[in-house]
Amino acid sequence: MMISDLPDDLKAEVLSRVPAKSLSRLKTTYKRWYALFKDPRFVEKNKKLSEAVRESMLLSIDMVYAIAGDLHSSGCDKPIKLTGKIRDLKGSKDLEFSLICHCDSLMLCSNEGNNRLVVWNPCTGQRTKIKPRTCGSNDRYSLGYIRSSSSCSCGHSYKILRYWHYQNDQKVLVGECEIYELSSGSWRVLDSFIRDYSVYCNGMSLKGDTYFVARDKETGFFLMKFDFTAKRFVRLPLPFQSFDREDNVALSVVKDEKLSMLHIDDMSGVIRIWVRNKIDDDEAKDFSWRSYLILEMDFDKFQLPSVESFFLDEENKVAVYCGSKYTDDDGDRTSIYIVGEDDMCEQVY
Amino acid sequence: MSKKMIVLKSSEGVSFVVEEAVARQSKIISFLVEEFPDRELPLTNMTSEILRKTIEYCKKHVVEDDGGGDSSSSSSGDLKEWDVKFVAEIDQPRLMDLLMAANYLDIPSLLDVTCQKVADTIAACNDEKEIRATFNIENDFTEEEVEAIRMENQYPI
Repeated sequence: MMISDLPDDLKAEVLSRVPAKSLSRLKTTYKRWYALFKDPRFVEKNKKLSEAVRESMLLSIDMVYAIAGDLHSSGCDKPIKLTGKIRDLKGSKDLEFSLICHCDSLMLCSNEGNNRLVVWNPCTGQRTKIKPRTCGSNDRYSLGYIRSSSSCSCGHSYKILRYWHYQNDQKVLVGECEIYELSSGSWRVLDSFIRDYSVYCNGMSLKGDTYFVARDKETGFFLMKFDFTAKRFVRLPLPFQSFDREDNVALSVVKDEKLSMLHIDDMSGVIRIWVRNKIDDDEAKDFSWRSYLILEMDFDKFQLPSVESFFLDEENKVAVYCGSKYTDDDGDRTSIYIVGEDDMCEQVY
Repeated sequence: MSKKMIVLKSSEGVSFVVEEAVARQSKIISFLVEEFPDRELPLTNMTSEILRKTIEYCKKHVVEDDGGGDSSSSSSGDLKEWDVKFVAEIDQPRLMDLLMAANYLDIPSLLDVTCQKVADTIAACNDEKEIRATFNIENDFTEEEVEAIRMENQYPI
């Protein structure tokens, strides 16, 4: 029997085990493989595909960097290697995104001025261009979907949240949000409210909802979820309490299942990374950072730049730390480190 | 206490006498043994060669559950190494047959190692040409079609 004789479900079993960097090659090898990648059911069924895509990219201020190697391969000395900036096909210029938001196999990308938005499926190559109604520099976008009650996974109804703020005539900060529905292609204004908190990091999507970290005067830092199903913001606890506005935070998702958070305490200079247990369905009843791994290290000792994004390799207890620092000579400069227990810190870019 | 044996019959009609615990790693056989105890189980879509290989794998992976502490002599590291060698020795068409057998008999761990081996072989190829040559696949794309697909892979902004 030959590989071409395998039934489709077994082909999928094989192809989903091929490392991410070889995937694009497969599409142009054989028409029936190409057809598989074009099939949303195949991509959705093979979560490993979308995971691989997510983990191979890191977002820094305006640049995207490619990471080679499987972040979750255990027992290998150097699991992570930086392969450089991702360039466009002609290699003529660096790609500039101000945002990448992953949600399962989809990526939402926007450019710096927030006037171009694209929802992209890197596995199938399918892309949907979206026209923002207006745009502003403090726009935040994120991608999510409505959780359906049935267990059917035949395509989620994806939505984009646009979230921004402005100062009104009474000098009060007003937050507004609107939602774009991918299936109908239309924007809908959702809400406007007095915003008494500040948002600290880009939204991170997990299981259809988006998470932010925010801070207000009364509670200090807290986690905020935008629930795409209920169409509202929900406040959730964080594993630490801090009122210090100079603290640095970032969110990340581990293996498409768990939320992870990095916090740099400005006073002590300690970096801590937490991982939440798998999010289950009744999270509304019980959201806590139940079991967590804490990686502690001295931020000041290594003179790290403030964090833009990070990835956690839970098994090997190492994280990829991506930050940027402003200098008069170079402007914003990005650096990438691999950090871990026992004050391990290695600059890779 | 003597171990319970069962008989599996290949497509050529060759009988293999196997310990029940070994064969029960296949969920299908497990089910059949319960439904039809004390009967020969005919596996009409498996050749003797593939059936022998499958039994070899199951023998190595059987975890004896007789209460003894050290009954399973292989550590997981050794077992992994053994698996790698096991699939490395099989030529490609037979690897596909074994993969099909693992799927048919429902032996998840064997399906995993065989699929992984094929995936690793694909990943080791440098380009499409090499993949086609390795797996004996005919190129059914025109140059224009390939170019169009490459454009799809381009980043969107």
